[in-house]
Amino acid sequence: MVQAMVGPSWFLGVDASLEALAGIIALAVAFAAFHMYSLTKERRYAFLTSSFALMTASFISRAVTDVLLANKEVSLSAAMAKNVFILGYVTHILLALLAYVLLIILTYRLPDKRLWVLLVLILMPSLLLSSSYFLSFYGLSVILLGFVSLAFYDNYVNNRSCAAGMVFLAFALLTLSQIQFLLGPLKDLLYVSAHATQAAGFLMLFFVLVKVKLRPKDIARDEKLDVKKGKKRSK
Amino acid sequence: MKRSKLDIVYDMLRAMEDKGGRIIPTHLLYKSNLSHQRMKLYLKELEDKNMIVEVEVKGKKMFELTDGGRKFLQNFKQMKEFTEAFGLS
Repeated sequence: MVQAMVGPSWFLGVDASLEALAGIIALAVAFAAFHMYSLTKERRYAFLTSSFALMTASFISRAVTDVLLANKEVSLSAAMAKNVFILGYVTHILLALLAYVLLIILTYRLPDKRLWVLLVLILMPSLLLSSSYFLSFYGLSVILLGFVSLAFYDNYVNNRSCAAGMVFLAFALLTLSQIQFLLGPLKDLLYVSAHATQAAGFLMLFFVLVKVKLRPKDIARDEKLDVKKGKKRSK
Repeated sequence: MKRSKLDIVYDMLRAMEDKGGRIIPTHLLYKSNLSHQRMKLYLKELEDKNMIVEVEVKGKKMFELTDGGRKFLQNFKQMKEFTEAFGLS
């Protein structure tokens, strides 16, 4: 069953704008990843592109649904509103989960395609047999994004680069936002803070893109210098 | 670790950039750490892709970095950092 998660009335419209913002930033990351893919034709970039493209479609779908249902100027019949409601939110949920699964496959480098299918097959009953799609969705999102964040934390520990730290922080914020969404039915303000945290997570990803685009660190040169220093020390 | 084709291209273009945009073949051979035969193949490919041009300065044969080559260097740096940020390396 799809039950709407609604915050305070003054927040109507703001939530759709923040979801649209998330969609636009996800699209920017997808474009950057696609640019890398077009240069290298490597599968890892194709996965990152697909994941963020799915996130884009998911967040735009939710934003459009929210606007259609909340906007009083758009008059929908009861049956139509129900269809928009179900179609919009189910699309949002399925695409977002698929995007997170792709991130798990990418960050944990799962080699076997059967494992990929297994992941999806385990997710589906957890979602479809639930009495509330939204609560299951946020529960599953916490788990998936939590594991993705852990992988990005390991990456940050290994690299100690600013951009890697920002990516980890972005996904930690996204995980935190899903916990807040999960607890949203208990208190209206949690729905608001969840949206704010989610937007902060996506803004962090946007800053990573800006940093990489404007002032890319010369990692290849640094690696060579490290190798040279290592050689000198060993001598 | 074995260098990828992109890494080798980067090393060659970087060597040119470090020398102010122009380099003599001997220095390039030393800096790029390739055999003469392989370097010739790479140079041909880089010339075909308009990343470098062959010029003659005071009677010496040199290779000069083009705008295309500089753009590739910039793209490569961005790609490296993006790859590292998302743990894709």
